Formats: sequence, structure tokens, C-alpha cells
Amino acid sequence: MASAPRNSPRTVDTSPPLSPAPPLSPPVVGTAAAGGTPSPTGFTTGVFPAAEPAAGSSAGKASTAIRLLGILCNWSPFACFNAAAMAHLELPPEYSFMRVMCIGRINQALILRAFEYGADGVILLECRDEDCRYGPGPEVGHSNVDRVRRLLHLLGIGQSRLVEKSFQAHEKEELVRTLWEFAAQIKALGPNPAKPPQERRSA
Amino acid sequence: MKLGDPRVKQLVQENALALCIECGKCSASCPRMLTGKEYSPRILAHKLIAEPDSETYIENSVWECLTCGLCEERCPSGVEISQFILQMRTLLAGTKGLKGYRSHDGALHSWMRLMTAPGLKQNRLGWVGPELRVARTGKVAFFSGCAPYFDVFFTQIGVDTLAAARAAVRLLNFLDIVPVLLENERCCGHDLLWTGDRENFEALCRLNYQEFRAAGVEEVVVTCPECYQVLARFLPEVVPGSELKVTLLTDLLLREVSKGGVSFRPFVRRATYQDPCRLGRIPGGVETPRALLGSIPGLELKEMRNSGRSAVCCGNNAFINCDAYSKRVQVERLQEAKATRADLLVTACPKCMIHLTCAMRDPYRHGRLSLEVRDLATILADSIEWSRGDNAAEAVSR
Repeated sequence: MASAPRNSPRTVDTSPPLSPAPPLSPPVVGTAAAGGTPSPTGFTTGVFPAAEPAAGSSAGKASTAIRLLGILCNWSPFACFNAAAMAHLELPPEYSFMRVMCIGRINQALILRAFEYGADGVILLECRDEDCRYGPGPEVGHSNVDRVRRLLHLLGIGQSRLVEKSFQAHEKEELVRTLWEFAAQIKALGPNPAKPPQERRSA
Repeated sequence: MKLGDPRVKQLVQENALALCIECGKCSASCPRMLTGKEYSPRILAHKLIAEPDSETYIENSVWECLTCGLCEERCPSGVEISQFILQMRTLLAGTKGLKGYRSHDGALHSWMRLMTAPGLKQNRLGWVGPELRVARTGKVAFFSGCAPYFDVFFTQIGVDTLAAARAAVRLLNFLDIVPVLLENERCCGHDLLWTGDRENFEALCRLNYQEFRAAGVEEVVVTCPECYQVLARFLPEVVPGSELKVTLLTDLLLREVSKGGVSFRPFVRRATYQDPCRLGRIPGGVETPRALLGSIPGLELKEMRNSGRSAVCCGNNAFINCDAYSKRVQVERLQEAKATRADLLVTACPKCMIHLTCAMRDPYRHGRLSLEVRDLATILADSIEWSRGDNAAEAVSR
């Protein structure tokens, strides 16, 4: 997936967003940010409840229903996420989001477990390497993603179902665009072929 | 579930726990007990027979056992502790959920469960180079198990589990056997079985059996003793009527070597051998690897203080409950290996390799425990050759 240059100059974006990028839906007032969550902003707790697997939200597409997990670092990515919701930018309904203090907290097992529990794609939304509050967080993320992608390749699940992307705190449009792009990419791939039977039964 | 439950009573009866005479040989042998863990097979047996209200103690103990089987080896009454632990774990997991702290946060168990998907299309044969002759269908298969996965997961500790798989195929090729390698074989399920996840274990067994049948496989050759235990002993329980023949590569090799015509190039090293628990408890499991190592000229095998049927476990099993006590078992085991003044530690199980290598890397030991670890198959594959009459005899005498 296309990624912004890592070391782009840090700027404070105070200007109102210009025209949204093509995959980015126009701002919709009062849209539930996560599927099945009727909250107008979705920010009462900061963590969205698990989205029902696109139940009704992607109308008429039940056969290709996918479930995505977005893991947000509490700092830059969550600031973007918060700002996106404040600006009422629409997010793909297939996501469940999980907020963690640092992407370095996520280990290989937690990523694999998302797939074990039926995720069709996992995206790690992290800070830029140089912005980490704790030091090595994003680097831990890179190494975990690298190794889990190799395991996913062995399993035949495919490396493209796991991606990571870093953001600066003002990049709300980029965050929303990334989420739409990843959702589109996974929709094109279809559901994860390696869902354990229990997950297939519950879906 | 209460321990007065008839199912528990039945397990106690089936596994001969009532025959326990409380001699304490089990606890005196238990590696976990000897390193200070609050776990005792003797007290577990006593509580099960006499104090069934000690539910917490019993349940915790069930998850603490290494299932290495050393207690059974020494029990004069034939109490089957490992079998009991296995059945209790299955029972407890079914009623109270899976317990036991998973090492690596359960990543290994996750990928094993992911493999229960019937439509899985793996890319697991990337390690097969052009030097190896392999087939898609045929009568004899080689089962590589989790080796490709371990290779990715344990790269950071420098364990090369695929070396053993390549060596096994080389050895089979040497004997003019072109083994079937299955693109979609699954993990054998050993770790799921021994952590009580019977449902997914059985799913893996059935899928593996289907894969073998589809490729026309009649005999499966394995190097990993855990895979051997599962495929030879537990798979027929899950797939009744399975006529799959399971052979340990070491047994196959010893048969061929004893026919004559095969010899080994000299390999001058002072080595010691770690008996894998799953291998040491089966007939011939102690003698066969030693016989093979003994036929390599120049290789001096130095036994550790506890070896053969008394060998101590590598400290962990089924990737659960790795803790400070496991570490202590490993450190003591490595100290025993060091005391032999060997410069090579040979083992026959990838898990022994992983666990012992992990303990060697402890920064607080400053490399004092480090020792080259190699799989038995790699050593054999590197020195096997056809006998050349006088030349071979000369090589031996040199």
C-alpha cells in the first residue's frame, strides 16, 4: 500500500482540509463511525465496540462481509482518529478499533490471534519512528509485522492482510484514506480463507 | 465441575492412581518439583484419592506438569500420571476453559488453530531446494510438521529447525527414497492436545490424514518425536481404521545401517546427547540414537549425569508455563552438558533445541552455558556415505 515518506517535515496543519482525496467519502454529519454503533460521534469511550460483521451496514453484500481490526496507538494515530470523528469523516463500517498506549505493546501473538478469531485483515496504525513517546515502539511494530507477515505467507493467508502505517498527529485525512484503501483492498481479496471452523460457524 | 464428578473418578481409576503407595519416587524425580515449584505428583495423587475437596490445588497441578514422564518411568505401581494429566486437561478445558500460561503469548497455539481451516493453501515448502528429490504423491512421506513455522518464529534466537528437515530428506534421498512432501500438511497438533484443546487437535489429525490419503501415502517418516507420538499413538484414536505406518527416521536409518553397505565419514567431536522426553519413553528410543552416533568414527559421546531413561526434560512442554522454574531446569541441564566437557550438544527434537538455545542466551550467564546444538539428523546427513571397502576402514582407523 502506498505510504507517505517517513521523514516528511513535521508541520502543524491548521488550514481547513482541502478537497478530500478520491476514496475519501465526503463528510457526513451524524454518521455512525463504526458499523452498528449509532453513536453520533462514537467517542464516548475512545474505543469502538466490536463492529458486528458488517451486519446490514454494507447492504446486500453479506456474502463478502469482511471483518477488519484497526489497532491504534494512543498518540498520533488516535489524535488523527479523534480529529477525523470530530470532523465527521466517515469510516468504513467493517472495522473494529482497538486503542493501545503504543504499537510496541502489540506482539506477534496478538496479531495472529486477531486472525485466529476471524479477522480478514489487520492494520497497525502507529506513530512515526521519531515521534514515539516510549522509544522503540514503531520499530517493535515493524519487526513484529515483518515476522507475522512471513507466518501469514506460510499459512497461505497472505501478507497483504496485515499492514502497518505511520502517521503524524495532524494527518486525519491520511488516516481515513488509509482505512478506506485497506478496506477496499481486503474486500477485493475476499474473506480470509483460513478462518478456523469455530469462527466460520459464528460468522 | 466438581472433583466428585464421575468423570474425574473414572480417570483416577483408569490411570491407576489408586495404586499409589505414596513412596514419593515421582516427586523425587520430578524436574519441576526439584527446581522448587509448588508441584508434586505424589501430593496430587494423594489429594485425588483422599482429599477431593482440594479443587484449586488439583486444578493448578494439572496445568503445572511438564508431562515429561520421568515419574512414570520410576513409579513402582504403574501410575500413569502423564495420561491422567492429559485427560484431566481435556476435561478441564472442556468445562472451565483452557488454562495454563501460554509461552510467546500463545502465538504458536494460534497458528496451530488457524491450520484447522479446511481450505488452507499453505506455502510451506519454500525450504525445499533443488538438491532435494521430493515427490507430490507416493507411498512414503516425510512429515516436517511445524519446522517452517519455527524457522520464522525463532529466527531471533538462531535456531535452524529447517536444517533437520533438509537433513532428513537428504538421508532419505541417500537411501533412494523420494519422500512425498505435502504442501498442505498441518501441525501434528501435539501442543493443542497437551494443552487440552481436543477439538482442534482432532480437526488437525483428520486433515492430516486426508492429506496423506489424497497423496496415496502409506508410510510417514518423521524426525520430531512429538510428531511421532501423535501420529503413531493418538491419530489412530481420532481416525479409527487408520492404517498409516509411522516410522522414526532414526529407526529407518538404523535398519539400513545394520544391513551393511552404509558407513559414516569421520566427525571428530566430543558430543553429548539430550534425550527428548517423547523419544526416551518409547521402546528403542534411548538406544537407537546412541547406536547411530556410535557408528560415526571420531565422534566421542559423553553421557550427561542424567541420561537415557533418566534424562531430564528440556524444561518446557507444549509451550505452556514457561517460567523461572523452567529456566532453572534448563540451566541445570546445560550445566550437566557442560560438565561432560563436550563441545557439541546433540538432540533429536526441535523443541529441545529451541528451549535449550533460549536458556543459553541468558545474558546473565555471560555465555557460560553456550554450546553448539545440532539435530541428530543433520550430523548423520553430513557424514553418511556408501562403504568403499578399504577406504572406509582406513578412514575409521585414522
